[in-house]
Amino acid sequence: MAGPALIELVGLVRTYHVGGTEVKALGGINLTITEGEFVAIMGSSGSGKSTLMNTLGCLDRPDGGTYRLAGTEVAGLDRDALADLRNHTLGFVFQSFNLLSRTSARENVELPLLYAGVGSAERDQRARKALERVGLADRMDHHPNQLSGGQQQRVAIARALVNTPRMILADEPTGNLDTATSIEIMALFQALGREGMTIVLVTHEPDIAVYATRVLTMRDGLIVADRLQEPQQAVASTPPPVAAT
Amino acid sequence: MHLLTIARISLRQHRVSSAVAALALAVGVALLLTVTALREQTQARFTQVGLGVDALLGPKGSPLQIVLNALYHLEDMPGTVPWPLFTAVKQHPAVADGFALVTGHSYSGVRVNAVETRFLAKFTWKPDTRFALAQGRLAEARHEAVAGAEAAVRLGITPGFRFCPVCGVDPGDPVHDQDHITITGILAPTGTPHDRVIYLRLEDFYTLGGHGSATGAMADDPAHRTISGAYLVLRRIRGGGYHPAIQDLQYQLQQSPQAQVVLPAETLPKLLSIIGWVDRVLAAIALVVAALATALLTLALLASLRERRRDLALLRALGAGRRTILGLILLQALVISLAGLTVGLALGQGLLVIGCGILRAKTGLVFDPWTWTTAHSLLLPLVPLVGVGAGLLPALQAYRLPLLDTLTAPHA
Repeated sequence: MAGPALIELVGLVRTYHVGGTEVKALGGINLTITEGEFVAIMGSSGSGKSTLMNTLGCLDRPDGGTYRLAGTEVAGLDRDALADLRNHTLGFVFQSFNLLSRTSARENVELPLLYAGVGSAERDQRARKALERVGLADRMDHHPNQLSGGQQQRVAIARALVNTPRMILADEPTGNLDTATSIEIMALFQALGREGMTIVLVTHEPDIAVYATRVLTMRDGLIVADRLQEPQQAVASTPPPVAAT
Repeated sequence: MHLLTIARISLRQHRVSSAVAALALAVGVALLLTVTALREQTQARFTQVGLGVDALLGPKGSPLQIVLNALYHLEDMPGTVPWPLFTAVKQHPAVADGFALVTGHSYSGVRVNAVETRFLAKFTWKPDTRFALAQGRLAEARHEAVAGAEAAVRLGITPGFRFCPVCGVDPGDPVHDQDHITITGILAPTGTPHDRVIYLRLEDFYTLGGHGSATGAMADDPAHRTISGAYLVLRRIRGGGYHPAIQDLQYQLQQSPQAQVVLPAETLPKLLSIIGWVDRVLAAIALVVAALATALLTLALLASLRERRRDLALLRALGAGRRTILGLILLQALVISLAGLTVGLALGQGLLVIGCGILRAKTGLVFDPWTWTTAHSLLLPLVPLVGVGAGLLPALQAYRLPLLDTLTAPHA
């Protein structure tokens, strides 16, 4: 944990009310993640890992405790400020890619830049660069249905990277991919990690968590294990993407 | 500009549901436009007081039938009026001028009316406007006639065309096959039922073969003529009202067994009250259609929103603020409603062109499909407003989308 703290959670609580019953999804989480870490959050279904991920991504608000993201106290921000924070600080990668289907890879990657108010020429340039970075220089004008699952996920990663975020949050990014493609994606995350990008990914697969430098295990809304590890190096069967900024 | 780009991407993304919403609105706009135009023109056609004719001298019978026959060239005249009575009426202080006419002849479905020749030269069908010739000249000799603009188009005739008139207005009626009438001129269009007639010279009517010796004698002695009726121009008082002596004339003729004076301005509203239920049904249909179009647009927008829930959640996750999402949905609603309006106006116009053609063919009533209607005045500003209004509900729903559930839910 050499870098400065990017995420600081103190006593974070999130409670849901389901049919009159109170369910404590997060029961008082204390966690610090520093810049450049590659963290895997593991846990069984219902352990609270997705709730933690969504809270980290400012997609959900905690009921108690404090959350500081890049030095900003998140609890005090309104929805628009949260949207702005998401836009400039975070990049999201989802299990089901969430790409717009009738839109080219380049336009999909440009989307976050549209909300950031970036002009058309710069949008185009930055989207191209992000797609080159994930190894899709020759697929820029392809639509999602013309791309494989792994390529679609790479487009999603390029979209997460295009706004030069400080952290990428990946929710089961390999959940819809076969083993070989999953390793390709993990190789890409590792390459980004080597460049200093902070990555937090949620997975329930231990063979995916082995590529992270730190593994958190959750159970019943609490972190029950937090260990650093020497990551296994992901070796992609296809040529590695260009890892240049 | 960015919002427009995002809206463009989103509309392209959901082109089918967007097209369905626009189409739903277009159908509503088209129906509303058609119903309103037909309703307004029905009223306008039958309240276009007199078409330059202040009063009609006609036989005893239904005043409405006299108006429909003399002015709209529908129905038959219920009897005849003696010429001396007509000349007496012309002398009445309330009457400024009168033009005798005989109806009851036709050619290929077009009425052939006999009128005094000075009718086409002197009658003002609207203030200070007399008939004008588009081609040829007025009828000057026996067996000559002039065609109204629409009659000429309908029959495809030009000056020099010759025809034998039918003695009656039904297809099976006998033809005056010994009388070959030559068209000498075509009148310029007036946009009134006057355009739908071939005008024969009054004196020629009495010379047509087959009417019998009594009618033939009328050609030589006007005092024994009978006519179907006459167009009357009344004297006006200052301020534009009819001379009050018209009431005296009406009373006098009411006592007479031979004729009556009918004021179209009094009779046509009665017609409208008879067909008023049609008008009310049309108005109700227009209202239902308007409500239905708005409901369809809202439902279509809601349906299309359901389809784009994931996209909207994604956009918010990627950093789109609530105002951006709100603006995006409203902008899309505006674009969809403008597209629906444009297509609807074109569709409605097409329906009107077809509908007016059918009405003209079936009833002889001239409806102008290109008239500006109340529907135009209301639809142009209201449809975009209604569209944006209908977009508010889905926009507010989008505003409150649960991001997590929507993004992590399996694809539908």
